Amino acid sequence: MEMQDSILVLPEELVIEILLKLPIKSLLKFKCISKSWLALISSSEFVKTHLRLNANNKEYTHHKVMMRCISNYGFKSCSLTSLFNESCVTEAKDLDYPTKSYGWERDRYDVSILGSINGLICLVNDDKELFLWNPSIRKHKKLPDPRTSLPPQGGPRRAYGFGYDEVHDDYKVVIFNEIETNMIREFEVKMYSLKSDSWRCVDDCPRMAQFNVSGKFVNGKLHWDSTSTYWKSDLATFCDGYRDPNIISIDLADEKWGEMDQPCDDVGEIALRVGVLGSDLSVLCNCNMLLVDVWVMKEYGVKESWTKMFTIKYTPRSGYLGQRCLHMSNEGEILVVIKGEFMIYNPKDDSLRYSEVINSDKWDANEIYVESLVCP
Amino acid sequence: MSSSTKFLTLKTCDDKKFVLDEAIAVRSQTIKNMVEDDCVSNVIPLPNVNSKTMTKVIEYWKKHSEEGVSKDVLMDFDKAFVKVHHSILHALILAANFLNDKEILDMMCQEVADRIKGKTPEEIRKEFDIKNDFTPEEEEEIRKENAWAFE
Repeated sequence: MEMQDSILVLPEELVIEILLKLPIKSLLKFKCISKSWLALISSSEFVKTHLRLNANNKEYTHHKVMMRCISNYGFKSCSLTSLFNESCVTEAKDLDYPTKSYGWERDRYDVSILGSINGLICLVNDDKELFLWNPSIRKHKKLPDPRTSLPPQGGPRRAYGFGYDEVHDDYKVVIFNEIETNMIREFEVKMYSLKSDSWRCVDDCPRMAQFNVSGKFVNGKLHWDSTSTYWKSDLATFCDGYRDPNIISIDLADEKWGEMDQPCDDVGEIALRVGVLGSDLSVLCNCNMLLVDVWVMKEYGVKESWTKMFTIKYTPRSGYLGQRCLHMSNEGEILVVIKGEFMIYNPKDDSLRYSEVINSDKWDANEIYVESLVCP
Repeated sequence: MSSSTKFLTLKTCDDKKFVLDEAIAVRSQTIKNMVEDDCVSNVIPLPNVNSKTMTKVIEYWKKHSEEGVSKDVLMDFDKAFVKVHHSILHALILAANFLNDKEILDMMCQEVADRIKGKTPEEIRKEFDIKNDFTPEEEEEIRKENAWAFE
């Protein structure tokens, strides 16, 4: 009796310790407990600490893999760690995606994933409307129209990027618009800031990014393959001894452009795509049709630190590696997508195995995200 | 037991004394700091911890200091260790916080979180002795914002 009644009131710092260990759904539910709990759970400090704990969790317990289903352009997600775990069944669950609540006819609207940072996903649909979406808290926001100043004929070709500006604690979307009139190409770059909820032009971009490719966010900067090799794709240009650096980047804090070289310079090696592996910039180099070298820039910005991590071999049956490696586990295994299936590559014995996801339908795009309370 | 084993005496708020191997007691960062700063006299007072709670803490420390204990055995021990009434949980959280033992603190906070995550707001208010200071309209508004969380 005495014990039942003796509720020890915990100081706020310890209540916070407990709240930080709750699932997001419970935290949202507990916002209505009192004014102080609402203020606490909504505070930017709590949201940031919660994000830091989730993002740095060594077991990747709070990391999810999102898939875009082909049949209805809907989204599903599954646990990242269970994809690596052979002894457990990975199940995909439906996500409550923004287009659903917009009441669009799902079969008419294609939605692409442009990037993911701190639990926020950036999406673009067929009408070029952009969205920031946090699937963990089921909130989204439609971005204002970037209003390109280039003439609209033919519809511009675009490239996008989405990242986080830590200096200003701001989320930013970068968009490249390119148009071609009478054989003349023009392009402009605009940047959206979530804090100001507006777009503005960014000058001095050295080159157009490869269109239809999303920038990869590493070290506070967004990176794209640039179009120099794309434009000069005939072999002659590889032999003339000069190439522009083929990765362009923009620092989201000071908006300065940068350029760097991909690791594979040899004639005949064709760099496929810039990607991210762990927190490092990576590049997949397709040496011939059956081998892909995975390179990682161990020390950011240092060309000499490009290191060939491993080579993934295909068998004719296995099909080709998609545009990137998704994730490296603590054990050094790599999650890759081949022919629309998740596969785990083990560099130690050079093996590839399927990682089955039940209830996933057919999907064609994917993204890793961390569960967070960050509000779009 | 080696001759160099040092013992510390801990005194809880209800005047009970615990004699403990220093190597075990320094699992508490607070005690460790005191030992390192050489400000340990005969008895270390623990004014914020009662003997019942301290007995539990020492039980944990001893088990986790034993040599040759398998991971599975420790996991089973931890599972049983957290199965206590919530008032003891809260007391252990306060003690772990005072003693600065992050391991116990994390484990106990996780246990509280696991116990409360499925509860209703009303149950939480009761458990944490919190007064609902929203008007019914305000509360309804907040519930609507995240209606799916109540499903």
